[in-house]
Amino acid sequence: MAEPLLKCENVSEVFGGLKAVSDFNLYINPGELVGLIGPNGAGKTTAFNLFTGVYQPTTGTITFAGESLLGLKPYQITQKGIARTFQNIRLFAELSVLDNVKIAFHSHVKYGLLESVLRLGRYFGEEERIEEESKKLLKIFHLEEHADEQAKNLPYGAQRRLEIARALATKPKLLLLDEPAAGMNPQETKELMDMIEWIRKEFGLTILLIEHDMALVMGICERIYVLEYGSTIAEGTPDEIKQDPDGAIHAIKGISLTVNQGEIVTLIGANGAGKSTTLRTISGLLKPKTGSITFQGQDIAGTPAHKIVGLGISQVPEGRRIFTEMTVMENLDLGAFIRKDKDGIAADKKRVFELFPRLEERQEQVAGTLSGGEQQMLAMGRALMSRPKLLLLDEPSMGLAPLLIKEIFSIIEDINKSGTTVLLVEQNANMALSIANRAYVLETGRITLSGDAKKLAASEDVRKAYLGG
Amino acid sequence: MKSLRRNDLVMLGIGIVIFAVLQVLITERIMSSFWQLNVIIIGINVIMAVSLNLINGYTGQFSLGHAGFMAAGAYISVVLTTFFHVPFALALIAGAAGAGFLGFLVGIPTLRLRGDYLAIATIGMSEIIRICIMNIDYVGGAAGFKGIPHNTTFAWVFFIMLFALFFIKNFVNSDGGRACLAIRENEVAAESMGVNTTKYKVMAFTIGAAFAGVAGGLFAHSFYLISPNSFTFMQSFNYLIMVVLGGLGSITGSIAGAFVVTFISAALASWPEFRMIIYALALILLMFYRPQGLFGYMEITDYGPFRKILKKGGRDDG
Amino acid sequence: MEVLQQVLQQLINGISLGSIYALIALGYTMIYGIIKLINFAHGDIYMVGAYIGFFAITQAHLSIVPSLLISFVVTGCLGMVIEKLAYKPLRHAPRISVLITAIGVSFFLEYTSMYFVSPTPRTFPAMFGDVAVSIGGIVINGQQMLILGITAVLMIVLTYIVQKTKTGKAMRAASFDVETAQLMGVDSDRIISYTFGIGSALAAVAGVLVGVYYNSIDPLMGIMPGMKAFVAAVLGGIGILPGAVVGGLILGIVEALVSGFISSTFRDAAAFAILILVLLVRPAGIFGKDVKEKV
Repeated sequence: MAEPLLKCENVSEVFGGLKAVSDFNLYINPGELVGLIGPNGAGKTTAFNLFTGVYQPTTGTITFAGESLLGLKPYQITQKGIARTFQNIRLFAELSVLDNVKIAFHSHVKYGLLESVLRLGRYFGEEERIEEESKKLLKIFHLEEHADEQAKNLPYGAQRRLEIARALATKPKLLLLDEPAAGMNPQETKELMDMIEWIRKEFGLTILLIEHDMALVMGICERIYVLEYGSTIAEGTPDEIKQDPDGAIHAIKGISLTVNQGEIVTLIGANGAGKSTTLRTISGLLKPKTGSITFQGQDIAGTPAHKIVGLGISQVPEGRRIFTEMTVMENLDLGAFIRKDKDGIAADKKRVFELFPRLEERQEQVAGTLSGGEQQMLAMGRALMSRPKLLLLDEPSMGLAPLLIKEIFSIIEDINKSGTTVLLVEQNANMALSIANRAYVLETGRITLSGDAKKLAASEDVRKAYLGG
Repeated sequence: MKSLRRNDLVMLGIGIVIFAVLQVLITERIMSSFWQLNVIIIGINVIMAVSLNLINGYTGQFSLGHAGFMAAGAYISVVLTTFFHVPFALALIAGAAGAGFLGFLVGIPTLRLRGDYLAIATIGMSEIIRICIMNIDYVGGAAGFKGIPHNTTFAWVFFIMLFALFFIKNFVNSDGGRACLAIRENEVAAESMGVNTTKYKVMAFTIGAAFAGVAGGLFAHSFYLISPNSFTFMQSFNYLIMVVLGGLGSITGSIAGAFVVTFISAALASWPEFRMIIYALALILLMFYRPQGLFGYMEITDYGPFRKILKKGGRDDG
Repeated sequence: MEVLQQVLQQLINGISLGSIYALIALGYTMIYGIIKLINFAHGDIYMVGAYIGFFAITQAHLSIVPSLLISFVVTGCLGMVIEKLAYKPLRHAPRISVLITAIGVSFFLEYTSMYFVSPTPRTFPAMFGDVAVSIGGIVINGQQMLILGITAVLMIVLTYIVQKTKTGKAMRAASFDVETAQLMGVDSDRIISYTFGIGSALAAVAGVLVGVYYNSIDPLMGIMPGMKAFVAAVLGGIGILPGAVVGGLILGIVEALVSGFISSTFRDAAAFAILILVLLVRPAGIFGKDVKEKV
């Protein structure tokens, strides 16, 4: 077999003591279409950032077409022939669609500063060529009629396509796609799959793709790497990898959901389906454009977040967001910011420490030094300190080891039993459905299914889409 | 594409007509000497504003030290003309080269600094330049430099201004300019598209500073005396305001901004106590109600009537 | 021995000057920490504080401590009003708009003051002129003792507020993460307002102390110290309170040494040279932590 185009050996990346990627190995042969899958926080995007020089690996080697990529700047790597798209779309928002693509021809422009400023020599010829080639690319991605619009005004799916068109304009050998279908509806996803297949043949590309949409990955990838906690846990053909991972960004439209007192309700759905947006709207960080949110008979839509806490709704935000430079105790004190009853606060602290004994041991420690699991516990404890009637949990399992996830979920059940209603957003649909009374499935900003959690867990559609089987 | 060249010629034609009209007004003494000086100042301010716009508006690097480069250009050129009797044109070029070199030096730290930090660092750099000049007795120190030949005429200012406008317009509409825009819009993505962000940031600083240096040379040779106090960071703020008023990322805007600010300053010259207060309030209100400035990212050629005159070939600004 | 004595003397001068920078820098750093704004008008608030103190002493014939208090309270309120009128409407505007507004506010304060109090410098009445302590030839005069004493008291009070009170904790929380602070029930608008209040009040005290120290105040006196205080804040690590104090002291000492041993004309250049050096070598400042941009 030919020499792999990209080879990555024993790569580790450490951020402030945390291993984002550890002992990561991967190879891609010329012409292959390879998928990289794994839960949120597994290190997929970090891997891309390592390949493209945004980050430098702490240890290990990365070679591309036989040359080491270590120490190269991102633009040098692009010039070598690796192009990428971004998970959180990074277009040149204020510029026209056409200019977005033209910029990417940068490494292939053959005129100098003087020629451009005086408009001499190759300037006009080159500009004409770039314009022509750019328009050709736009046509492939059905963007030609948007050529003069500002990129930020494109519909979401078109922005994703423009990212790919722009990447192709750098004339890469290897194309890295970071969740190209995120936030797209099934129809758009299907078209995108065809387009990826087509450009691969047309441009003779090698492609590495990060994706949450399992159907997309299984459908087009020849080989798949599964990443978890920063290391590869499996590698093989799609058939070999018919296993767990989860599912596919967008705001929400016309969501209706109810949470009854005493329940645990979960909101599941792919990445970017609008789960977090829903929670953030309830907790008042975002204002709904239309519609109402009623809590205990009172309309709270548009009420500022700090007042909603006073009404009895508390949110554990995604990524925990504890105050890392303050002590555990101070974090808990802030949780009780709205309260004045000293005795009650002390009692609730005691309760939090009963729920999370580890926090008690570490109460004087600065929160940033806690482990990921302990930070999650602190975030939950902090939220409980306002004595909420309704607790909103956003991705409590993110980045945690399975054993810890179990522990956290059993604590969520305990919290619920002691009378707090819970609304849970979770990537790990299996876990979420196992403790919830009812569930809603969110897809591209809409609720597509709802009902009894146990029944949903058994339903064919849900199993396929979110439970990996 | 051919229409691009045609557009340039049309623009140049318009420029020459404007020049002819103003030159007649000046030589026939229809324009008072107060306004004659102001016309020259406007021209210099236009050069300052477009060149600052290249750094701040197009490349998105927040520089607040433009007066420092101007000072460098001014002092280099006056030393050459006054002490060494070097021809004016050569002195201006030397001033540009000197200021450009400083711009290059200042550009290097921008590799590591962003936004506010860069703003303060550039103020710092320009203040260091100014304080250094103040401590050089050879150029008159804090008292200023006296006996400068009065070389700057309206024609010099106008044609250098025209050159600066074309230079920067053409640069912005070329690959290098697109690289700068890409950096403004999203540095990480620009780098991923193969743009050596370091190189283009430094390039923007160097070109911007070089033009500020020329403007400094023109400015200095309009007066008998210049002093380091003409180049404080308050002056840099002034240029920033022109650029922001006109629209960050619009050449037409910079021209308009330089006009409006210079006119208002001149018109309010008789009420000095209110001038700055009105100025301050206008600035705050501008940020409240039209933060993108008069033109935003638009050029005058993007508006209806002008589109027809200048048949658009691609997106070309003027 | 003489040189050592001189160095020590400059050190005392430097610490006095540095304390003033530190007081101004605290406000800068607090405001930056919470809304990420370089408040260019902060130096001018310090100037307003100096004038209020001046009028309290000369017109109302108050002694120094009540004058400081009045200036502290009035300027603190002014800071809150400015925040409400000029910055709050731009909470979600691009950073550059807010920065330019800050420049506008700065001009406004300078030139309206100039209109009301005239551009000519005012002479602060001499105070503690004859009080001085001499230790082994090193003189600490009355004004310096006042500066050191008041600064020390304010630092202790501020530390107490920030570390122990509910408002202080909320301020710290909001400067780490405004959104999550809101989820704890913290009204971020109120906390931002308090921050401007406290920051402005501290600057006002610095203004009055400078008046006492240098005997002269004028409407443009805030420009340079304002910038230097920012340098101090960056040097210590912006957003970090002890950083502002340490940064202010270092800057004051360096300036005193430069003017004592090189030339006072290079004093201002020293501050900016430090700034550029820090930004190049350690942009996060002495106490700051480097953070990687998330891609």
